Parts: sequence; C-alpha cells; structure tokens
Amino acid sequence: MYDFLRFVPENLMDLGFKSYIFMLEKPGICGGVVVKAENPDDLRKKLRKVRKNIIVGVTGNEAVCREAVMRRKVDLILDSDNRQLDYATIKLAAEKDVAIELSLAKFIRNKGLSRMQLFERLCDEVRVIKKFDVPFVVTTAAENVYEMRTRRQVENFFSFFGCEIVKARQHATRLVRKYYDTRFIMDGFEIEAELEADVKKKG
Amino acid sequence: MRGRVQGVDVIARDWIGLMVEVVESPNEYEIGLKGEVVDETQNTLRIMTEKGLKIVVKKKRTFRVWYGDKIMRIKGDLISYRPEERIKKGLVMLKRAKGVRI
Amino acid sequence: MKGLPPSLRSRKRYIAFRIIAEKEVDERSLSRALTDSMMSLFGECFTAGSGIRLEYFDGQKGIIRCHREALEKVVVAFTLIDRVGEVRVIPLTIGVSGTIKRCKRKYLEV
Repeated sequence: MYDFLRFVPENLMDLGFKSYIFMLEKPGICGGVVVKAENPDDLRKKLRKVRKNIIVGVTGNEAVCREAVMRRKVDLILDSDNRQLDYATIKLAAEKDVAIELSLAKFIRNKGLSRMQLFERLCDEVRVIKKFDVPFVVTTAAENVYEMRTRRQVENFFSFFGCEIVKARQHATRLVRKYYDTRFIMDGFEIEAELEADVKKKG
Repeated sequence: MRGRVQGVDVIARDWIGLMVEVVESPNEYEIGLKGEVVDETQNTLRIMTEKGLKIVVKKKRTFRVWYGDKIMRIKGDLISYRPEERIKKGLVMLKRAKGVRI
Repeated sequence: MKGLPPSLRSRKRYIAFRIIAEKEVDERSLSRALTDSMMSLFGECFTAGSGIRLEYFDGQKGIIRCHREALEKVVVAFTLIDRVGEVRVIPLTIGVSGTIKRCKRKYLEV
C-alpha cells in the first residue's frame, strides 16, 4: 500500500505505509508530477512538457478531468476540494486504465455543509467505481503534516463508505510498479529472472 | 525508469518449442508440470513432460516461460487466443498497456 | 453526479407541507432551517445520503424533495423545526408523493 502526498515532510513517520509517493508540481527524485490546468487546452499544452516515465496526476474542473482521462500520459486523476467527475468520465477511466484518487485530506479540511456535499459525492463515485471496476487508490493526499494519518485509518475510513480496500491496494501497487519496477511489464506479465550469466558461460 | 525491454514480444508469438512450467493452477496436480510446448490451441497448451504428453488449459493458470535470455511469468488469461491470432492481438495488448515500449 | 443512467439514479419522494407563521417566511431561510435541523439531528454523514432540497415554496405551502430511503428521517427533522430565523412557525406535513406533478395536484391545489 502506497500513500500519495503533496509535500515532502522533513522527517517521515512510520504510519504503516509501504512507501510514499510525492506528487509535486516540480518532479523530484522519487515521485510524480502534478499538472494543474484551468481548461482542456491548457492541460494539453502542459502535458506536452511533461517527460515520460513519471507518474502524472491531473487536477482541475470537470472538463479538465474528462479530457485528462483520454490522454495517454495521465495515470491518475487527483482529488481536490472542488473535483467533480461525471458518470462518463469514470466509465472511460476504466477503459483507459486511469486511476482515480480518493483522498482523506479534503474531509479533514472541510466542515459542515461543504463536507456533507463531499460525502454525497464520494458515495456516488464509489458506486460507479464498483460498477465498472475502475482502478482507484485511497490516499491521505496530505498537504501538511497535520493531515497525515496511518494506513489503517485511511482504509477504515474508505471501507466505511463501501470501497473495496483490497482492490485499492492492488491498483496502487500496480501503478507504482509500472514506473519503478523494471521487471513488471503489465498485469500478470512480469520478468522473473534474466539468464544472461548462464548464456555468457555457455558462450 | 523504464526503457525498452527485450523479449516482451513473447505474448505476441506462438509458444511451440518453448520451455514452460505451470506455476499456479486451481488444479494442484498441474503445478510443477514442466516441459516443451508441442502444440497449442485457443484454450490449451500441449506440454511434453517427462511423464508424457499433458494438456493444460490456459485460463486461470500462471506459466513460467524460458524465452531468449529471460525467465518470465505470464498469466494464462493473457495468451488465451489462437496462436496465429496472437501475433496481432498481443502487439495491440502491448501497445495499449501504459508504460510499455516495444 | 451528472449523466447517471436512469437505473442508477436515486428514487425520490416529494413531501407536501404547510407552514403556519405569524410573519412571512422566505424560501432561503426555510431551506437553511431544514438542513440545520437535519444536520443537528442526524449529522453530516446521514444528511449526505438524504438528497434533501426545498423544491418550491410560496410562503405557505411547499414541496421538499428527498431520497426514498431517507424519507422518514427528513419528515422527523422537518417536524422538529420550531423557528425559521427569528419567526416561530408550525410545520405541518400534508402528504408524500412520487412525482412533483402528482404532489401538486393531490395536496396543494384546491
């Protein structure tokens, strides 16, 4: 299970995650890049500059998310306070193998009526995600230290709303392995070992 | 960082002549069957093992394959097409998978 | 969520109600009072699944929309309203229906 953070903390606590992925606007050593876009045209322009071999997450409004799902470079639709996904976008995400992030931090940040609306949206998203078996990841998406939680807390929170945590774990691992494991090629297809040494001996 | 990987085209070719071992299977007696593939159909592999010719279904099994200079682990569901069709379908599959370059 | 197919949309119920008050009550403050009552009674989590909304209000009579599963809760929360803003009110439910059209025809006309 991996966690996606939006900042680099000074000293990492052990919160039960296998590892952390830092989603930053300027890509660091280990992590991904966040593309913030105002409109679909802006997104296309910014995606052109992003280099390959890095996890790309997109935040934006409804139209941006819809466009992002169709782009090959995009791996993850990041969560934000005002993210709205429509039915067609989630359905397409399953087809195009784009993961959808469900974050805990936005529920901590908001209170009252706005949080209620977020709950409403979450329930809808979870229902559609279940229906089409869309890849999704559950994360804290913390922007500061006070929004970090343990792995178990995050998982309990989302399983309360009906997420299948086992699948979320698989999707997160797959997403990370896709970029940082040279032995992983695709689902159910990986390299176990290389025989170069043996071949050389024989030669 | 991922680059070009040699040998991924194993899912886009027929398997006749390759060394294969069954690693995972719902039928525990099949686990460990090892030998050369003699013939292949849409749903099965015919493996020439030490104990004779065995027919193994592809779906829901995981195979270990010796191909070129690599040992690979492949789920049978990915290769359950007719061998002659698989050249085309496997290439499409590799092309569509994100982060793979052929 | 936008664009849900009809089979995935939540079923709705429309509650016709009447309000007796000394002064005039406006739509916005009534809607506010209703959500506040709902929130304090059942919390954010259950209010989220209720789909509660004031569909229309003409000063005396009106219609509340909610999801079918949350109907009982909404009626309870509505019953417990005692003041809207500063005005003291008596909320009375008249009936429940499955469509706005039927709700209006059955309970609000004549």
